[in-house]
Amino acid sequence: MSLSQNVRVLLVEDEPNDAELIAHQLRQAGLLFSYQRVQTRDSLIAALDQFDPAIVLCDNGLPAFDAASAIRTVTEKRAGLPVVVVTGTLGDEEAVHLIKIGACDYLRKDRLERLPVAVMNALEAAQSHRIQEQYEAAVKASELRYRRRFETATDGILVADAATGRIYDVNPSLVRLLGFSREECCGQTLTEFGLIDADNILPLEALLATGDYYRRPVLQLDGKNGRQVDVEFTAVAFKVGTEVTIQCNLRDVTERTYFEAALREKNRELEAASLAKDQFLASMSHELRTPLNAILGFAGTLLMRLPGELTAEQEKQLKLVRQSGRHLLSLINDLLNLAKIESGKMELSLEPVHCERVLREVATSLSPMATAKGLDLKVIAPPTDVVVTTSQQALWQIVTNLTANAIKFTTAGEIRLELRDFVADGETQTQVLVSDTGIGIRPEDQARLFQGFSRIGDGATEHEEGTGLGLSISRKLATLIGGDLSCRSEYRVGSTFTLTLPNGGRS
Amino acid sequence: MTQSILLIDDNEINLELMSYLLGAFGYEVRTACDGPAGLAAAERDPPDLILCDVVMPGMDGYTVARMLAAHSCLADVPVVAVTALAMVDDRDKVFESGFDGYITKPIDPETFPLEIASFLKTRA
Repeated sequence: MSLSQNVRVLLVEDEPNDAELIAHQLRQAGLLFSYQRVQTRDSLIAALDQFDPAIVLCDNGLPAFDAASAIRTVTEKRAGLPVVVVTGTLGDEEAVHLIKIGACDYLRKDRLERLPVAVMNALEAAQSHRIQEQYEAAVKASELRYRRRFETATDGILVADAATGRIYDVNPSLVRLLGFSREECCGQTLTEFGLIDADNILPLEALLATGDYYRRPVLQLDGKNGRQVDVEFTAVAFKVGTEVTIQCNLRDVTERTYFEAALREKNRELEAASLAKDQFLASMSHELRTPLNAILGFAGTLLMRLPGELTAEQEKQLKLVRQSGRHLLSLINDLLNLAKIESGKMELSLEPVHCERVLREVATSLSPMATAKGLDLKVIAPPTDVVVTTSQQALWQIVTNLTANAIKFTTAGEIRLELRDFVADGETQTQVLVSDTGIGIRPEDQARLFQGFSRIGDGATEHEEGTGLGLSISRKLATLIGGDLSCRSEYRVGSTFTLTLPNGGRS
Repeated sequence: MTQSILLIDDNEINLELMSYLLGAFGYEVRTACDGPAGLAAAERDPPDLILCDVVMPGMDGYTVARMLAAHSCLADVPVVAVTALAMVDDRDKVFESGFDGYITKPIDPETFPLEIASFLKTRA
């Protein structure tokens, strides 16, 4: 309490002269103050509110009420406000009584020279008492907050004394987690609890030194009645005074570890299933090809006339056998290719590919098919060699599929295999266009054009052979090599399929 | 002099097809319906070329090829796999096992004799 501060002093005094005497005494001591005088209980109460004094100096011999009731009133209304009794006469017994009920000091009016000191002491005591109270309130609030968090935390929490390792507090979540009651937990040691085993002693020293946490992602604990619980374990040690406390947080991860294990198991199953599927593919490929060997082989030897001459009808029928056999083989190959692409087993090797050469190869291999239908098969390419780093196998497969389709669905006119190489948006683009003058595709059919197993056609084309997988495989291959396959078609006029190659590896 | 070819395949129809076709092209053809029988036949009278199936019950073609390669009198006889296995890794495994060639089934009877001739020629 500083002297320079203006101290509001409330005098409970019926004698104005005495009041002035008191004021004089304080003034003489250099105390900066203002004062108000009251002499009834009501005016005391009013002044406590309105004047808001820092100290009350109270006479004992008031006609309206005495010091004891004044003290009670002050204590009741303003706990902590210091009251110093200043009175003409006071017996020891009474003085003790007044101190007991809340007065902080008393002195006699004939010894007023002690007043300033008494006032200063009372003010200082009140001040430190207030600070103490604030501190205690803060501690209490903090304790309450901690307690609330401790009690309501979803993690199980236990607190132990580091010196003995004995648990002295657990929260409700821990009780729920392990099934042991609070009483069963408290008094046990961390070791008994399975939190510290021989191999894994809690690094207390390190925790204390660094203020760090000790964490184990998964720790298996035994709960009550053989219950097994997986917890994520976190421990922290802190020192209060000389005592070291360990707090352990246990988060229930039983469900998580269960799902993790289930997930691992599922992955193993999927891997096994994927392997089984690969083996099935390989074995199906083998099993389907074996009988075709005899069908195509003997049809071939007969058509080669190795066993002898054939009648025209025999030859015609044998060719149908061979044609159907080859068709069956291409279906098997398509299915296997699709299965391989879909399971990600298709391995494509990238290399510099001379595009025109691939187009000419495809044209050569399919020209008998085109010629048989009286169609022209043309290859159009720029004068300079176009070399793109891509998969020759995929490019060949896509162009073959597109060209075979074009021939299949065209009855008159021509099929064009066109290679284009141009610069668009500063980047070199290479495209292969396969166009026909065939039946075209209706707009409503174009959307499902690239879906597997969806053959598009009307009465005129239903007799055509195919799995309906050709375009689906082609688009998947195009995507696999980083390119794109699109279609533009006009019903009854013709179709153009455009394969855009990725320009990777080009300058 | 007639060149001799030993066919090893567990499928009788396949054996019949290949022996008929190769016989028609003037080769002397012998057949064996499994690996051990094929090895015994080859040992008894070493042929100029061996065509061997890969997937067979009991001893598979890979084993047959390895045993032939390890055999002092037969190591020089070319062995060609004729197989319905057509996966990429199958092909790698075939060559790793010591086969000198690889023909997939179904065979094309028009080109098959030419392929066979090329294996015999490279040897001569």
